[in-house]
Formats: sequence, C-alpha cells, structure tokens
Amino acid sequence: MARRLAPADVALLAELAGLHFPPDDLVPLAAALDAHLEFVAPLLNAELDDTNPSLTHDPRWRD
Amino acid sequence: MIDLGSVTIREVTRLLRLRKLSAVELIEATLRRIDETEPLVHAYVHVAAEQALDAARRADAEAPRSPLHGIPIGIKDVLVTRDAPTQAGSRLLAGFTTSHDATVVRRLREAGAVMIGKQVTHEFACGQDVPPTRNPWNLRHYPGGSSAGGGVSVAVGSALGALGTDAGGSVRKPAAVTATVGLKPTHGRVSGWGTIRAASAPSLDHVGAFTRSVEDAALLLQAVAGYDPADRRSVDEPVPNYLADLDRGVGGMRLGVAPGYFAGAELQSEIGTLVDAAFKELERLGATLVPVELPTFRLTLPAGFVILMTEVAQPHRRWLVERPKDYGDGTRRLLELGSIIPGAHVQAALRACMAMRAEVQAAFRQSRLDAMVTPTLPMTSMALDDMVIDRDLPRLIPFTLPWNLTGLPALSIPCGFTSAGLPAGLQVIGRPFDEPTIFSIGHAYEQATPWHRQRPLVN
Repeated sequence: MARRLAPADVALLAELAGLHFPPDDLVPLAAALDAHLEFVAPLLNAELDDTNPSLTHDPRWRD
Repeated sequence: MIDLGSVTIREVTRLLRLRKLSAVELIEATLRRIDETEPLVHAYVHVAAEQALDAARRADAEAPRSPLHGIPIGIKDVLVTRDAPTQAGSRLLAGFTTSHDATVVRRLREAGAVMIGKQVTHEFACGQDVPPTRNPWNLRHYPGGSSAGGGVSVAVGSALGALGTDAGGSVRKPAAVTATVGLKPTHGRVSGWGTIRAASAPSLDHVGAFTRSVEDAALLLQAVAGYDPADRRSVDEPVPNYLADLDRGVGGMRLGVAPGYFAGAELQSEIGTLVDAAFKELERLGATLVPVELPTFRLTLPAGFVILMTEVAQPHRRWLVERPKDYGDGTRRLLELGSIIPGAHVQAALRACMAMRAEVQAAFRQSRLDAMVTPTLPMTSMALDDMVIDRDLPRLIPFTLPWNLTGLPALSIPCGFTSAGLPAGLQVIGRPFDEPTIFSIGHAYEQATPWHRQRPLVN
C-alpha cells in the first residue's frame, strides 16, 4: 500500500475537527488513516445513489 | 450441594420452587464458584457479594415474581447499576457510580433476579486492548469480546446468566468461543438506556444475553424486553410469550443460507465442517435450506466500521484533548481515527446500511424464509499470543456485524468442537421482532445435539 498521508495531514484533519492529537500518535494515525481509506474504497465506489441514508433505526419492515 | 458447573436457569428455578434450594444457598454457591474460577478466568471486575446475599434473603422471603426469582445474573461493566461502580474497563471512569440502574438491570431486579457482579469488558467496549479474562476451554486463548466476562462466567458457572452489549458481535462472539448461548435481540426490543454512552455506538448497539440454553435465553429476554420511553431507540411492539412456541420444531421451515457472502470470508475448514453438519441436522429435523444472494453484504465491514468508529468516538472529544494519557494507546488511536473520518464516508456507510436492510427484507420475502443460518464466527478462538487485535478484529465479525446493521435478531448456539477442543457457534437470524422463531430453531437443534451440555473443566 502506497503511503499517501503524512503526519501533518492528520494534524490538519484533527484541527479541522476541533481536536489536537498527541504528536506521538500522528505517525501511526497517518498509517491507520491510509489503511482506512483502502478499507472503505468499496463503500465509496458502491452504487448507492438511489438509496437514502439510514437516519433512524426502526427495524420494522414496511410494505 | 448444587453443581453450578452444569445447571441451567430453568433447572435451578425448579429446585427453588420445590424448596430443595434457597436463594441464599444458591448465591452462596455462586460466590464459592466465583472464588474457585476467578483466579483462572478473571470474568469479574466487581463482585457484589453483600448486596447479592441481601437480595437473596429478600427473594427467599417473598413469593416468586418470575422464573428468574433468586437467579444470579452478571452485568457487563458498561450498564450502570446503583449499587456497584461502572467503569467500562477504563481508567477515565475509575470509581464512577450512579444513583440509578440501567433499564435492563431494573427490570431484572423487578423480576426477582440477583445482580451478582459487574463483568469484564474491553476498554470502552472498543476491543482494542487484551482484557485479563481468559477462555475456559483453553486459558491461553481469546475469550471473545467485548462482553468477555459474560460469556466466560456463564461457561464456568460463576453466573447462570449475563447481560452484555453487542454493536458488532460482542455478545455472540464470546458466546461462540465459550460454548454458551448468545442472544442479540431486534434493535429496539430491549432498552439500552443506562449504557455508558462512551462505550456505545447507539445505532448498532443492542443489549443482549448469555445463557446455557435457548430456553434460558427466552426466560431472560422475557424479563428485560419491552418499550422504554427513556430510550429513543426503543420500539413500542407487544412482547410475546417467548416460551409459548419453544417446542414448535423446525419442520416445514425455510432457512436461508448465503454461500456467496460467506465464500468471501476466511472460513476455517473445521468451522465449515461443523456448521455444515449443523445445517444437515436442521434438514434432518425437517427444515429446508434455501440459498439466497446478498451482494450488498460485501459492504458490511467498511460500512459497519465507519459507523462504529464515528459513533463511539463522538463522546470522547473532550477526553481525547484533556486526558489522552488515560486511554490505552490502541483505544485512543481508534477513537482519534473515528473523530476525523470524513462525512462522505459516513454518508456512504448509512446508505449501504439501508441498502442491506432492503436486500435482506427482499430475500426473506421472495424466498419465503422463516430465518437464516450462518456460522457465528469464521474461526475458533485464537491464541492470545498469536493475536494482533486491530488486525484480527475485522476477521472475526463478518457474520455477526450484518445483523447489527440490519437490526435483525440473531442467536448464537454451540454447534460442536474443533480437533483442538475449541467451541464453534451456529447463528440463527430472524425477521424483525421474531425472536420466537429463532428460539424454536435453536431449541430444536439443542434438543437433537449434545453441544450445549458440554462444559469446560475449570477448578
């Protein structure tokens, strides 16, 4: 897997989310976020345009 | 003297009713069993000995309120209790107490059950640390998580039943690896009010139960099921009598199997063999297996992990900034990652979740299914020395997580042992709020097989 994210990228994402992470976490988090991006690729590529997101969770089936 | 290593709630209830055993004697025996087994398996964070004996004395002094009257039940350390601390396996919540019970704990006490203690979970139920709990079938092996203490305590008889929480398999996974019965009810069937929010992903989380038989699981669900206005996820559906159809059998039932989905998972050959044998047994008992296709289920893991991580991370924002060192490294990094996952991923996950629900509903209707059957886990319990938690967690839950995303009820029952003597689980999934059907399937299988009566030898 090619490394795409740098620790500074993670720090910026954290800042955008209103957070500040310990410096020692930035390197492992960059790797974890890279792995996450690969992991969710099938999800982002799935044909779901006509599906509404699940915003409530009433499990009963409707006809 | 009662042998807690082998009895079920139903059997003990009979002894209590016949006055061959008192609730105090039962709780004293349970406390002795805890003393015998805890040095080896570490299922408990806190044993409420005095409170349990007081409750047992009260139980002996009054008429039985339910089949759970006087029965010792363990509680996962993420469900709040008014008389014991709730710490969610975390240093951040060390010594945390409240003045009230979670709804399920209150309902258990109202049914006469005795809260025997709080049971081990992973830190904030996140599954990123190795808890001290050990698998009684092999003490070097993973006990399942995150409700680790619940499964182990029921397996060794240091509780006759236990409540856990399950957002991706955290009841069914420990049940499968300890040869106990694990129930995740329909989403909204059992109130989650009183679950520590920082240890929960609310849209996927369910309060579930560990027992030694399907009948006991039905008894436990009977006590805790029902609408709770305090929980916005709770659904106001009538609660049936879960014992009424227990002996219905599986004759004429149509059980869906999804070979295409399971072909994509790393199914250990021995697990495949045991589950195939269980399928054949269900056919011998009169069920018909019906292949179904669930192509959207390939999105289970990415969708489920995005929802899990982002939901569980939200209540940690302040602690992550102010007290980062009070987390274990793995848990903190999981929560940090969950805090920065892009909104586009969350939207895609929520759409995938809805697509999966529509797909499984169509499969049930078009194939006229009564239930579906799967392996609970694709593998046996791993040796802790060989385990890399963040690598191995996704490998464990491809068959349990779909039913958290879809909200359908799912029951794990023992279905045999590998050549190394480690248990395997069979999972039965039902329509929304159709727990009676999965109980009747599980009970029929149990009556025809010996697996649920086998117990680990831990002394």
